Amino acid sequence: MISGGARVGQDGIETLHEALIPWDSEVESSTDSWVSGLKGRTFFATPPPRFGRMDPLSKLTVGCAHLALKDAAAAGSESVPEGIVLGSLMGCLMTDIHYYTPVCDKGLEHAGPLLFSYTLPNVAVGEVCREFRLFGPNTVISCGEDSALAALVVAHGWLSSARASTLLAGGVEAVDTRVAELCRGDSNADIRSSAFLFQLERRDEPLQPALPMMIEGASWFSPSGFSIERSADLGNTGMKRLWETLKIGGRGFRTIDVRDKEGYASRLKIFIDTEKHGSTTRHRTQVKRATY
Amino acid sequence: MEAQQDIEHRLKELLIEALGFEDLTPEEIDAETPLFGEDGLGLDSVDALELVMILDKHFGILIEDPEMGKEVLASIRVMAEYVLNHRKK
Repeated sequence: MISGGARVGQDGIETLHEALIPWDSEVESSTDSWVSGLKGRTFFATPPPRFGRMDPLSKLTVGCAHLALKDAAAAGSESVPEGIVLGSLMGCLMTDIHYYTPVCDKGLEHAGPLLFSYTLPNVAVGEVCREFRLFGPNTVISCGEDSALAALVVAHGWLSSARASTLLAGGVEAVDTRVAELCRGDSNADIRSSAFLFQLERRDEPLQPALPMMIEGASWFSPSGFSIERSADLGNTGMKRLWETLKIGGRGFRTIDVRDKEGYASRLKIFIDTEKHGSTTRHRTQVKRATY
Repeated sequence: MEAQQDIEHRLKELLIEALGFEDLTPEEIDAETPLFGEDGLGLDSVDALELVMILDKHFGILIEDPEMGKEVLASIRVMAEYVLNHRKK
């Protein structure tokens, strides 16, 4: 069951159960991009003492995790997540570039020790675990542009196989204008920062074996089965549509299920059920399993 | 030549910027507050490296001996005194 969720994007912050809050002028007027202007006060009434020292990927992940946890609690969930599965295509690339640029240009004496400690993508997950005291399983998945959906599939597998009973899962991409341009190159790829995190809880049902983790590619389908043009957002591909689908449910139930009826099918189906006013709608998407 | 008070203020500004203390102003940092430990600003070993880099980059002071580092980085006041006597920039 999806008991809560939050997203952070260019337009502001939003939770599954509350409306969008646009950025204030301080974040909007950031000289680089909104992701570089994030402050602890953006997310917290009393920011964690170390928040200002984190890199943008960690700030975005910790902030979004806080909002998702608050959203789940406000919606009545009493479960506490044990771990987190984070999908990220770009990972800590922006931090790597920010760290190495002065080192390459001016020499090692211009290296930033604090920034260096964030040159691994799983540090963001570590910061979430430390801040919210998640002592269970956690990982970062970077498997291409569908990393966020893959993270949801893996989280579902961990819940189904009783590796955890409540998890945070989703995708976070943090790139500033310069890094986005570097990555874009001559392509038209739409590279931007965004974060989508959900609190997933295991329902009372028979345990299933964990699904294989290797995943590549995803396509979206409408409830009636027609293919929908895929999102151009790299990394968090499909997450915006998933978010919109989940928002339809209002304060109703939302569940996520992953099926692999053929035992080792090339595609794993993800079902999202939303319930509003007693009527349930089933949405589906699928991720392609790696074929090597 | 900068007075010790000016150096203290500059060190506070550099510390706030380098360590991302979002809601802290130089005026709010007591120069005698310990930089490390629960009773002080609560800095850790990675923060200490960042302070060593600040001394090198802005004042030309190299601190290579960890024991010396412990002494010099005790507080803003101690740092400023050391800068005053050893700066090369």
